[in-house]
Amino acid sequence: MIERKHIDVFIEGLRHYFSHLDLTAKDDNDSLYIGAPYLMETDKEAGLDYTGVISISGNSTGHIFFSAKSSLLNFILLKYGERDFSELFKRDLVGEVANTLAGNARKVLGSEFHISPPKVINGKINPRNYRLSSRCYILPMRWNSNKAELIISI
Amino acid sequence: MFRSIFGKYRFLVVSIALFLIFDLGVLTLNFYTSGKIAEQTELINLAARQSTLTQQMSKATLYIKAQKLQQWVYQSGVDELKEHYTIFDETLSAFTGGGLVESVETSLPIEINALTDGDGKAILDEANRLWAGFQVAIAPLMVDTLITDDEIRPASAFIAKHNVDMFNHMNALTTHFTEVAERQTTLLRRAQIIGIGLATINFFVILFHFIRQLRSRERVIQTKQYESDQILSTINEGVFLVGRDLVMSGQYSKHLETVFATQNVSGQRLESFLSNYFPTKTVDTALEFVRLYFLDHIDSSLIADVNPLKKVEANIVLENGELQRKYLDFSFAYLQTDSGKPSLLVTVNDITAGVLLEGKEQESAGELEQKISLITQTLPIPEKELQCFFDESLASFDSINTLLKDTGRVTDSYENTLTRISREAHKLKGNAAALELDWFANRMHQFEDSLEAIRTRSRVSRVSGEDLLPLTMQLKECYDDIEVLSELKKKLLSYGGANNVKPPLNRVENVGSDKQPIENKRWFGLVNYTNRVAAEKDVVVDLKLRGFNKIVPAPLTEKLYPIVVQLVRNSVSHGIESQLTRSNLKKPNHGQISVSLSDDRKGNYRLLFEDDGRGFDYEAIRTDIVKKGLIDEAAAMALGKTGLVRYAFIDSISSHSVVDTVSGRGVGLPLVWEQVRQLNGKLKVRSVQNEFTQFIIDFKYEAQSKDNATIQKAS
Amino acid sequence: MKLLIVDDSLIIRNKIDRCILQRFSEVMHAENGKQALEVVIANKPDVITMDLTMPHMSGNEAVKEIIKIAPNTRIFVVSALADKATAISALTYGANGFLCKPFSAAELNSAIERIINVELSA
Repeated sequence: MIERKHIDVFIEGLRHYFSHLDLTAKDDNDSLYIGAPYLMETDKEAGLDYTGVISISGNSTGHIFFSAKSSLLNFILLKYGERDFSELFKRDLVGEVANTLAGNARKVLGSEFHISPPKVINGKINPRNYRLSSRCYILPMRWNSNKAELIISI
Repeated sequence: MFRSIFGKYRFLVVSIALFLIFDLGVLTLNFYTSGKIAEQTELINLAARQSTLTQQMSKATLYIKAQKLQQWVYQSGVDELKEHYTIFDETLSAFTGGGLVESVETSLPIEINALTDGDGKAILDEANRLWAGFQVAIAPLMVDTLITDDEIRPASAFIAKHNVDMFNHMNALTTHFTEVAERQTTLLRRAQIIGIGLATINFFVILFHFIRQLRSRERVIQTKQYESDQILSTINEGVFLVGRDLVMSGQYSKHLETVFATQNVSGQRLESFLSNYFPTKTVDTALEFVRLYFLDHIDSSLIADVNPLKKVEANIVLENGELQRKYLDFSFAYLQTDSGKPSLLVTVNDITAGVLLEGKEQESAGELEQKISLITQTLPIPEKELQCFFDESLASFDSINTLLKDTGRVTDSYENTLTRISREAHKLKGNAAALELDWFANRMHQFEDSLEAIRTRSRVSRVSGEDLLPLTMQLKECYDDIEVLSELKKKLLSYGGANNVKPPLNRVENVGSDKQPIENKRWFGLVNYTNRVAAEKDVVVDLKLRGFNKIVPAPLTEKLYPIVVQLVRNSVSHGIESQLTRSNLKKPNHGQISVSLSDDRKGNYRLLFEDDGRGFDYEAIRTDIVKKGLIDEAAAMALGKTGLVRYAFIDSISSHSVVDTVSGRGVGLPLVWEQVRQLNGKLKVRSVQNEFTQFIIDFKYEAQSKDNATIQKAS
Repeated sequence: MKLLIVDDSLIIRNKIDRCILQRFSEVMHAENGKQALEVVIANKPDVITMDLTMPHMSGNEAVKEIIKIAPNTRIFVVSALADKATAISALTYGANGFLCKPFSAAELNSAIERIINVELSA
């Protein structure tokens, strides 16, 4: 059963992750905007251009998806100092972000929150390919006006 | 190290060294004196032999003389004399100048030193002088020729005359040697007594010193023990020591026993101790962590922040067998003890109270009760009615979810979104309350509370999307509940007879007809609902329904029902007076509410809602809108009744200052207005203070309504 | 001094590579634990940054093996797994320090400094 702490830890994770990219930005972290969390509609496709998927096992089971518009990934790559914006790099990045967010969640959810190495999807997530929990949470966000979503299905 | 040991034990080292020196001194003296005494004994023997030789020489001389006078053989006497003479002479000259002599006891040659002391020398001088006479007298007898009478007579005469003197000299010498020996023995004895005395004194000094030192050390240890016992028994933390072997030491704080409700601490393996209270996984991690402190490749300053025993949950069995859940906080400090063995000082704090304060610990118990009441309240509701409620609820949830989702698109539309969400929630609450689904009405009430909290905050600071998370989470729970119930209902139906669980309701006063179409059951439920709401507000109300004896189409019911529910709530909360007030105003004791639905069979409908309560309190509305800053005071004063009534249908106006499940949020009338708009209807309000209030809603029911409604006011 | 960066993400390897100061004369990369072992045998790095969740051979397994071959190598784990148990087990396996992702250049450099200084002062 998903609890407040589960969602909070991911919100905190998002903040933490993007604050590390924003060291040059103002302290109030203006460039990151986290929208109102909402519920995923059953059997509807979700997600944006690239999605990193982490499978969860142990005490909790399910999936964590970090889905982002291509433009957001370009922006992060730029912040990392990369000059290559090819699909290879974007896939690598979206998986790494998903992995980092899921890994950081263990700080609160404990070491029994087992996470798999990331898998990457191009395009929309087909809910039939994953055993998603009914009406899982979607945390929408924008970073420097580029959209991404974190989908928590545990 | 050497210096420190020498420093610490200097007294002991010096004492023992002195003891050895005394002993060695006595031993050396003893050895030396014993040698001297042995030498002296030899001298005594020699001196005594000299005395005897004096006598024997005299005897031999007399023998030679007697034999000679009788013309007999005297040779044996000469030989004897020669032998005695030689030994005497050798011994005397050895006494005088040192040299070899034949030992009395062993007959072996021994070296003796010349006599040097005054008394001895004086005796020897006398003896030597006399011996010179002996030598002259005896010399003719020592020649290997015949002894003449002239030779023997003077010799014999001399010896006879001086024999006793020589004997006395030799005796004196013996006595002298004996005295020397005795003096040496006395000296030895005294030295021994003094040496042994000093050693004994020294021994006792060492003994006393150490007893004293042991005592004072024991006292220090006892004091320390007492102090640490005192500290350990009074500190408010569980404290214990763990060694590299991960065994808990005997010294631990008294409070530790309280924390873990056990006295079995000392000597326990940390693993088995922790296993009593924590899951295996936690124990394993904790032990791994503790071992890190004893590893060489890790600096302990680097690992404090990975302590896994911060705010851990422990299950502790109390003495009375009761299981208690506690939250504990462990901290660790690496210590290098005096003995050089490293150990870990572990401090345990019971932080249960703090955790419970901040957490939502007690929620779960209430939740179970809620789930049970959810089922018991749902079972009696007729299937169709319930299904209708489910469908409407799910539709409302969907629109709330869509509203939440869309907030992300327009950043500053929170106020608007929250308002629209609150209308949906309020409608759901009314529907649930009308069906006596209190659990759901409560849920929606909580939802409204959360909404209200967010709105309050939004007035002070900027609200961000994540602030809406409590709404999303509650929405999810609502979805889940409805889905669970829906599933449960289906199952019950498949077993047959869920509908019959509750006897048919028969409490509706349905004016105009005895028939109560089953499709209108939901409307009949309103009477019961009204009574309940009224009871909560401490008023008594009779609800009369007119025009519900023919079937109201379900889609129409879906639109109208929430309106009537809100109006009933509004009347009961704001309109109908208490029984006492009513009797003062000469009104019937029971408040009267009537709801009538009529149509012209051409699709033109009228819903008339009427109560005989206190009517609109226009001044209260005026004050409220000024207070809320919706309008300035002058403009408010200029408003007529129509203008003021319009504000009652705008959000956030409520004439109640207390919020409860029935009213007070100022959402009811705006929700009515919203629903009327959806019907594309007209709303008229007629109200006379202290007399009545009428809401007249005219609408067409055929096609979907358009957003084109107006409010009219007629007094 | 030689540094080996072990991470399955090319972007993270590049990031670490860019972040570190000029302290290292040579910087090598490995994508997983297995590759890391080969590099350790061939090139004997002084310092290793090690990810944990990697295909083929996990970071912890790699740390165990590396300690056997090159016990003086300073290893610090750079992982997204932010729970304490993971950090503890990595340290138990023989790592000398732990840094959690995401990290800034300053955090990375101070972690490297700390690990090297602990060695020098020990």
